[in-house]
Amino acid sequence: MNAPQQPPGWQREGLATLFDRRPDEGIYRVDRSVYTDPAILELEMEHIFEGSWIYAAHESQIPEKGDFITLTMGRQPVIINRGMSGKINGFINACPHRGARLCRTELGNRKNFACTYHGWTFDSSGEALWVQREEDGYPQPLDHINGVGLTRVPRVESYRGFIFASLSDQVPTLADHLLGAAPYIDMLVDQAPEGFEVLKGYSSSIYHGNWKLMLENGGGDGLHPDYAHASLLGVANRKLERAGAVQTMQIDKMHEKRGGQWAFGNGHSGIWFNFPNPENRPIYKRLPELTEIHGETKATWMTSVFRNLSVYPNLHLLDQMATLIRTFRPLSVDRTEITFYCIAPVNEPRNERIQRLRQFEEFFAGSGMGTPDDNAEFEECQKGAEGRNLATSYIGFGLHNRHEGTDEVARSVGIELAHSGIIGYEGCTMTQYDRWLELLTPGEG
Amino acid sequence: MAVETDFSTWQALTGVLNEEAAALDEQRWDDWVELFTDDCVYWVQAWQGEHELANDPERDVSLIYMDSKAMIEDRLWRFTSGTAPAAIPLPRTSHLVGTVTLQALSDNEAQLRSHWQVAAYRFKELTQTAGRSDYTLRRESGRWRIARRRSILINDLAQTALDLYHL
Ligand code: FES
Ligand SMILES: [Fe+2]
Repeated sequence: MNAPQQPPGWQREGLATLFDRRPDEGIYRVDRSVYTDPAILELEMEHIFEGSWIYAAHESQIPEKGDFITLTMGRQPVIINRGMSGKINGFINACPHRGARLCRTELGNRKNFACTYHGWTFDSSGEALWVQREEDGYPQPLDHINGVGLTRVPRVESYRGFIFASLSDQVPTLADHLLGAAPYIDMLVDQAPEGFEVLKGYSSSIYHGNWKLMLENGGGDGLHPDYAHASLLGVANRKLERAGAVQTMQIDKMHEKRGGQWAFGNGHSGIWFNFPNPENRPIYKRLPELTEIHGETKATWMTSVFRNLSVYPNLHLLDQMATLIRTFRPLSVDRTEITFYCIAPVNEPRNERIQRLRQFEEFFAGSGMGTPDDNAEFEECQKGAEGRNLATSYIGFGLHNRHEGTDEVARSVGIELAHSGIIGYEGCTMTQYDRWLELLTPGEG
Repeated sequence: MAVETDFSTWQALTGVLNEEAAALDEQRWDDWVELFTDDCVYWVQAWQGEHELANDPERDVSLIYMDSKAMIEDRLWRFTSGTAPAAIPLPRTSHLVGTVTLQALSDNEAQLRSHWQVAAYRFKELTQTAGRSDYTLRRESGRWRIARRRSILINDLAQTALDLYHL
């Protein structure tokens, strides 16, 4: 590939030189500076994390009026709350006066936001209620909404309980953003009559690597489980002989099962394959009733098919070894924070819940037996990316025999695809970088 | 609420906690796992915000929840198997266990609380974990073993990995 002699410019032409993109020949190379260049992270912050839709939170995290959570979108501190009217809002978590953060805890319930620095107070819809000595200090009354009210996150919308937000208002509708990811989300939410909720007890983990390493892994690395997770597969085998053990969902040799990898467009992607042991999933007991409601095809997909969904750029919605939300954000070019939320049907029966919890804890979060091995590999990739004499990654698996457009299987569950391939299909990574390039060079495509 | 006992009982009980820490640091894995009863519960709680814990391991998420020695052996097998990238190499660790109090004592059962800090060193970087644990020790054929260890980890942000040797 013709590696750039100079750092690329901010235009598409420059950034495009980071890729040798010849899918028909089975060639796709990515310059590893995408993981190491701080200037690229600045662009990503501006155009991706602060310039387009990202996943923010789940509605069940703020069920009551006044509930809020704090998060960071790109570099910006944000509050997501359920106002006293019931409406979900997003605000920049900074006081209009001198910028002190209004909410300093991860979550809580507040009817009003009072700033502890000089006392300015705002209601749950962001309107200023009280400004210190307003009559003494200003020539005329202040505009409590547009002048000294809280600054809103321009777009905050939910899809089936999943709250997405954008710090730019120049974004498509949420539906146009999600595309085929939406029916994939439906296959999770429709499993429970009262929907899914985030369970109590969440945790985060940090790895020393670029955020895209997590994205690429969860968004379609069907080649790593037999190797990176060999030890977990070993644990799964040990348990097979043990009566009463909560069994692990079998993911070894996934390429030998019926399955595939999908690119939905807009950088979203997914992996699916038929579980050899669906009877070990808590939802499997619901197969008869789900068949009645949704028909056999969908019910089988809900209960018996491993499904990874990656919603560009920061959400993995997994319904496979366990059911969870995994969301991540860059802290710096080589440091990423991942947060794990186990999700479950509202009012799930006790035994099913216990099974679900043990399956989640076994693999996921920094304290599980799967996540740490992924984290360790991301860190090794980050160190490897410093090997500048070998400047590119070779990510072309399954590109030459990919399928363009949607296919029979996807259509059977109402999903439109951009392209797809066999298990291991690295076109899922290519679709992420296609989106990356589009977002980083707005107005050029 | 601490209770009193004689010195030799105190030594026998705290000896279990000391040996647990030492066996982990010295990677004497067989000695370590033998400290647990077959039906032991090993639980590390997850947090929900700054000061609330997820308290029900059958409704809420835990960081680690194991209810048999076999599950502990699975974890041990994994991180010593040489097939787990997060444990190649394993970190060196140093456990500091302190402020141990005896909470309750009967003939064959004792409850203790300990506080601990663990330094772990891997790839020339030091990470630290800190927390406290409530233990139930049970005397089985003359030997005190761990029947239950419930731990609260104050810094639950896992650095790459969080495993039993960090606790
Ligand atoms: S910074 Fe909030 S009132 Fe001054
Ligand atoms: Fe993985």
